[in-house]
Amino acid sequence: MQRNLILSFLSIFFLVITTSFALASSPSPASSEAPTPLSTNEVTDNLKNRLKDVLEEGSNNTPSSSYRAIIGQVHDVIQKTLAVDTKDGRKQVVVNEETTLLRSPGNVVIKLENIRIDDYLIAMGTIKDEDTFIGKRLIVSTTKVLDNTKKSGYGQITELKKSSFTLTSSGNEQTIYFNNKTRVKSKDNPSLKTSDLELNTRLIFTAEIDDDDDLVATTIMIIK
Amino acid sequence: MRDMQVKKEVSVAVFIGLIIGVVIIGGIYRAKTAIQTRQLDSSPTPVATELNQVKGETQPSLPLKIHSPIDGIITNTPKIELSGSTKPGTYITILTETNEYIIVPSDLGNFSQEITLIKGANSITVSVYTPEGDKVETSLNLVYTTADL
Repeated sequence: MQRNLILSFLSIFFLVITTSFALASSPSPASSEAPTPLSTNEVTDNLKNRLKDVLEEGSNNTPSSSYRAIIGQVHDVIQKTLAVDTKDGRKQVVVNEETTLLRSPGNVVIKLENIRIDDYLIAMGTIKDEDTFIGKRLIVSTTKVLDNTKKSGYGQITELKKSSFTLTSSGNEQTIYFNNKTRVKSKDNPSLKTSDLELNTRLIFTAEIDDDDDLVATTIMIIK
Repeated sequence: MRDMQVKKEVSVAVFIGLIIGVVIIGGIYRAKTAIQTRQLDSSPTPVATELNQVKGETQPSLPLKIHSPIDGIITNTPKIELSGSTKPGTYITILTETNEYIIVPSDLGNFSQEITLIKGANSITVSVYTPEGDKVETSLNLVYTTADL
């Protein structure tokens, strides 16, 4: 009888101990990271974006969705691998027997040994991993395949002339030229004129860099 | 009669077991809470830094996300729709090989613009400006080709 008593006592004691430990080790709602509350707008926005992503995934106008391109400049050629400097850093482009190598202009078929260091490259193929690319069609050129001759910016007009203005932003000044092709607009009016520009006007512009390295505005959005 | 007595003794044992168990668990819980409080008090700087970093990563002041096209995509059509999202009330500039655009996002921050591509390599630069001049920028490269791969 005494044995039964002790066993019952111990059973209950261990039951309480183990239950308490199980409860204590599970994450409590108060201590876990509380989810950030989303506004209705944000939820709607997220849903719209996700729906759009799904729809666009099905309508990608690509020859094959598995193919991707990288654009850059050949840094080195090591056996059958090109080290290419891209906007996202250095990538390895692997050339194999299925790779077509072309030189532009003319798209002349070339061999791997005809690729020179500093050649500009458009590589189309498949991604092997984050830094390695399997080339399917490589086009090399001695001239830049991407030429950034455009710029956008923000500032306040601090000097206004007949065909240019000085734009100041964070203490930096730059001269922007405009001509009769320059489009001027605001949020409320899509067809303003360059004559609507005034001193102290705050604006955003897009411009082309001409042969003299001058910025010629193509579009100006007046903020205020 | 004997059974009744056994039941009574078992009930008493159960009750005592419960009480002792609860007392021990209560003590452990209090000790644990006290240790945690002491640790937090003695290391305020690392906790503050960690909170700042998380805040900076998860709540950028000027977000910009391009939904389409994907960077590095190859397309066989000369026109594509560029879409993305940012903060409402900002201004977006899009620089492409053929055109330049300045647009504004919707009240929800969404934007889209049809852009024309040139054959070969195309660079698209998307910048977002606040009315105060803060800026965030991203660029993507894509290729327009009709060649079979």
